[in-house]
Amino acid sequence: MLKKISLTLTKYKVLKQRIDEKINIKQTITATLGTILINLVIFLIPMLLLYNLMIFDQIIWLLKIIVFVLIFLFSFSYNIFFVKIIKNYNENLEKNDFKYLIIFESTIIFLVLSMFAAVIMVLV
Amino acid sequence: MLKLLNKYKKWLIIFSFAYIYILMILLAPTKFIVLTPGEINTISQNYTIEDKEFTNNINSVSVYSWQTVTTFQSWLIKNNDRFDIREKTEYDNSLSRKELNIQGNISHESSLQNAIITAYTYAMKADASINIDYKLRGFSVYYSNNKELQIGDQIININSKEIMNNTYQKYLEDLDLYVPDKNYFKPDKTYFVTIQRGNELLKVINIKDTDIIRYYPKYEILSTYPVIKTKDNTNVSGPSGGMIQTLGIYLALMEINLPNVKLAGTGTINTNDLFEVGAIGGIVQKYYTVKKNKIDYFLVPKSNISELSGVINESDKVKVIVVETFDDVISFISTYRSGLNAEKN
Repeated sequence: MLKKISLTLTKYKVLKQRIDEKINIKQTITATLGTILINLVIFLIPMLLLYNLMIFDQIIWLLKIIVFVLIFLFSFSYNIFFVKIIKNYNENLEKNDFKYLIIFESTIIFLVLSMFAAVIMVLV
Repeated sequence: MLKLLNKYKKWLIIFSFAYIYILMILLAPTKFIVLTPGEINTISQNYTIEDKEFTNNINSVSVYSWQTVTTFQSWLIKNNDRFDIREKTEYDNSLSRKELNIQGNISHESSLQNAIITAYTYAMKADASINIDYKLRGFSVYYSNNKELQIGDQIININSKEIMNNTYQKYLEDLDLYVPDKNYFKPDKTYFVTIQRGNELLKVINIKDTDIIRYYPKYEILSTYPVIKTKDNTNVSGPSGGMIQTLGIYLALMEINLPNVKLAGTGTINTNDLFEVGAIGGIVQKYYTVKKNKIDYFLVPKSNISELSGVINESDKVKVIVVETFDDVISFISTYRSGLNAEKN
């Protein structure tokens, strides 16, 4: 297990370095904003739908689980679209497989957002 | 990015109309207020008593109030009897969220105090070592259409008449301002009130005959034995837990144990001579909350019981006990304990 994590981390570092070398700061900002916009369009309606359904006290636990599922999907979708846009800017990156970068960064984002959501759920 | 947008341009235009429509349904607020079933909170979350323990499973019941519901939510809950949906009145619209919070806190604080006063008064009758010393300090303004008064102001006295005893009804009766079973001063009267606002100095305000003042009596508990402290750990506001909080404190003071039974109750407690249990809102939603939490007995004010007709099923595990005064609550507990003793024998 540790070996696998270490391998993923190494591959992630290599891919991250490759991306950093090929794209400039302007492209990074545009890709980030573009990704946020795409994800907002995708996830706004499901999130609002969940909020609206919170009025049903019997299914609150189910809805809370769905919130975490959505956070998981958001994390991965964010990185998938980010890489897609970056590849769009730089054709040299087209042949690279960014699977490990997506897995690593998405997991980190998912963990951070999940902790944030858990704290809010406890407080509210 | 632009390449990507151009690639899917046609689809984006088609979906944007449907998207905006769905967004509006999910976001647009309606003119409705909704009450939904809520949660139960044990009385031990509200108080601690020195050298006494809250051993019984006694719970207050709260409901969730949705001050703003969306179009989609109003469609979902229409014709569902678990929810109480009503149109916002002019009164609802006139209150800000901050004012609603202050109102909730005023009524809740008053309820916590009334419960202590009532429970100790009853316990004192049975045990001379228990005592309470408290004083009526005035009235908290719950609502007023008088522009000079603010929600949360403390009325220290009316027409400069000093508060001499602890019975607010008597004080208001002497001024001909008391309306039985209502928490507003008698309308069509002119008088003046002396108020304190936070730490501000006292101020005199003239009340016209068209003005309405809704209030909660404001007590100061000077000392109690055994010492009781409020430690409100819940997000609950409002006065509806008064009666059940009184019962929880009373049983703790008298060290009465009711093993293996889950009790819940709702209703305000009035510090008048009869210690009446007053009506509350959202009784149907409270009943559903109690049912969901597998409560054995649910104590309900007599003035609310008619609202539950058609909601209570004979197959429901929860037994509804109707109470009018705190004496009724005590007699229910006595009957329940006699039943337990008879079973043992």
